[in-house]
Amino acid sequence: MFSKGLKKEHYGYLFIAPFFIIFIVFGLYPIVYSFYLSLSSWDGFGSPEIIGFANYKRLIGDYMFYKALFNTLFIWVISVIPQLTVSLILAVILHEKFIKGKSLFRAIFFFPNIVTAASLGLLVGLIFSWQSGSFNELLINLGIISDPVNWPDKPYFMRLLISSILFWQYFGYSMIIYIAGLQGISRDLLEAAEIDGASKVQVFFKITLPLLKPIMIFQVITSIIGGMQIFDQPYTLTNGSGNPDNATLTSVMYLYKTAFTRYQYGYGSAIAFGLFIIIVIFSIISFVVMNRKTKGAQG
Amino acid sequence: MRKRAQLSLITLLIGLAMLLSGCSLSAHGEDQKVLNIWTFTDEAKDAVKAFKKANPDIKVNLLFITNDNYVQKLISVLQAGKKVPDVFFVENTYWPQIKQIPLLQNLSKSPFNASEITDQQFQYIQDIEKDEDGNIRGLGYQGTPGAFYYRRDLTKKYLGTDDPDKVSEMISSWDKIMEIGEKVAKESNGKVHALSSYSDIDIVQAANIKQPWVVDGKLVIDQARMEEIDLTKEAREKNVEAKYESWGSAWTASMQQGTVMFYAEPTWGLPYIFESNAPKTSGKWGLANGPKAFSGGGTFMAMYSKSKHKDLAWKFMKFYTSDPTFSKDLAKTQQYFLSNKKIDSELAPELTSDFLAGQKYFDFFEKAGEEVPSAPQTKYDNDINSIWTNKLNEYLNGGFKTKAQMLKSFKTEVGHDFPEIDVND
Repeated sequence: MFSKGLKKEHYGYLFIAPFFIIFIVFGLYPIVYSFYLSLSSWDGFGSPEIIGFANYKRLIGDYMFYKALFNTLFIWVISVIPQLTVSLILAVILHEKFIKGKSLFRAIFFFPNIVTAASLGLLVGLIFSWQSGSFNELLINLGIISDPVNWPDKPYFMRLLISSILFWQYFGYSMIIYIAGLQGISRDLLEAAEIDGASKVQVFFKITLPLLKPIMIFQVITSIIGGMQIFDQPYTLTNGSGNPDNATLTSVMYLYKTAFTRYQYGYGSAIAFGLFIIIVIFSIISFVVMNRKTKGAQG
Repeated sequence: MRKRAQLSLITLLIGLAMLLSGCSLSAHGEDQKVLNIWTFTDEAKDAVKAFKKANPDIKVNLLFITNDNYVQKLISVLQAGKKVPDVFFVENTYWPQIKQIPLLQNLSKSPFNASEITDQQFQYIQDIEKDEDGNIRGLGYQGTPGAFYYRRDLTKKYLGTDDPDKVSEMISSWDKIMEIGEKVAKESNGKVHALSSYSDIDIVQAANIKQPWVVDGKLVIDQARMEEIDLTKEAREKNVEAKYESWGSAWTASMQQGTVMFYAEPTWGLPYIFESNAPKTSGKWGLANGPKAFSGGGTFMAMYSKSKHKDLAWKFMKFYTSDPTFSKDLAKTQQYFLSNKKIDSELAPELTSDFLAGQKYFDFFEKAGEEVPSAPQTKYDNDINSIWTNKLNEYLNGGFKTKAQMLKSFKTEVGHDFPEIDVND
């Protein structure tokens, strides 16, 4: 009797085994293996030659890595600030009781998120192309310019363009997450405030916002992780080149080009670990900052 | 205990099944006559069809992968050493990089003796097919000499003739082209340009280099490249080129619209660029020789050195590159100019193109092919070429104020991407 009872526990392991097997094969093993590769020099043929931390040394002095990092951060910051504020405002509005057709608006705002990132990059690339883009065509027909402007050759414009694609694509997603958070806030609190005579603005700043803090932390951290991995949009927008003058080369594009077009797997893995460390640092910073603010608001 | 043993056995089996499922297929069919071929071009489909007809006992598995990720897939199977096709097609852009991989069969050796086939090919193709040590690593079925495709209506209007020989004479140097370009742009109020983009200069100059990008671990910028910088800048400033992006939508549209007089493109440009993008302009085109002979693109077939079906692989490669009936059929039905100059010259007197207003284009390309210089290659070519065109494009667009700045930026980036290359003067 006793021993049978003990044996039953093992079924539990069986049920959780698929996750762990898949995680070990497709998650843990590649991570450990790429760390091993980051200590080596390898073009994929023959066996990797261990060179110690030379790749990391190269990474620390690599101007292109810092440039890619700057591009990524720039694109991310410019896209994430409007994304998180606009989506918050829309979420609060769409959460109001008196708005009609809420679900329709939610669906419409969420719609851009369904479009594949790669096709967006291509589409925007066509719109803003130099000699045949419809944007230039429009400006010429409106008489604003007489010669087509070479948009793809303007570094900051291209970065902003990618930011706007990201903003457009993700504000609906953030909005849905905020709405979920808003629905978690007890109606009692809001009604109590209303009875006490608080205005909408007061309710928003004194009740909604503080109670949404956990959701905001979640949003910021996931967007940091997502933002550091920007790839599809700049890649398809610039045909994989990162032009002009590597201004749209993001960190992951740089990793990809190093490892999979130049076949420098060792250095590519080192870049991946460099990015990993940077993502961890940013996540910790945002976590600490957001938590401190929560304490302040409470106190 | 038995139950536990069963359980762990099941778990083990599931795990094993997951791990092995990827490899279990490759064991099949080793005794059958099966030939595995990978390609990125649908041209191969016709060849395989004809090959099967001639060899009904051989089963051919042709895997078509789009060009975008073909090379990466090919390199990764070669690296892994599993499921490698017996024969694989490689485009000229990637060929210099692929041909130095030591897993490609040396075709110079017996029983292949590929030189019997390559001896009949244009010299520049023979040189591309060989590796650094002079061993044949692949076979090209395609001849790719270049021409200046021109709009007959435009040359007639602005140059007063549409005769190929006279037009060739009028564009026999870059200076003459610049002059024509200035004149045409002026007379058409900037609507018509002599060249479509700086790529028309790039394709010619890049084919005329004497030294490869890297010599003894040092970066070398050939004289033809240095000239290219000045030529493209001049063309840009004098409004000689239309500033279209090669292969972009404005570029293809211009062929139909007739806003560009000359396009420097290889043989295959006829069916794949001009006829497909501007079908309504049939009869309005001609071929002329530009300032220098050049070539562009091309596809090569290579054999996996550990293939178990080398005999079949060779049979296919030989068929595709030298079977006279098949080659002639390919040339006639698909306007396919061949690497085999013997067959090309046999066809030269009879093959004409309506699209080119009846011009004997095989005759034209056969002569042009003899003139094409052999441009030396390195495994870095694809990467360094793209850095070069990026920097050149930047320079033309005003991103770099001076040539020196552009060259400095170019060298820095090459040195950055490939630390093993010495980029200092």
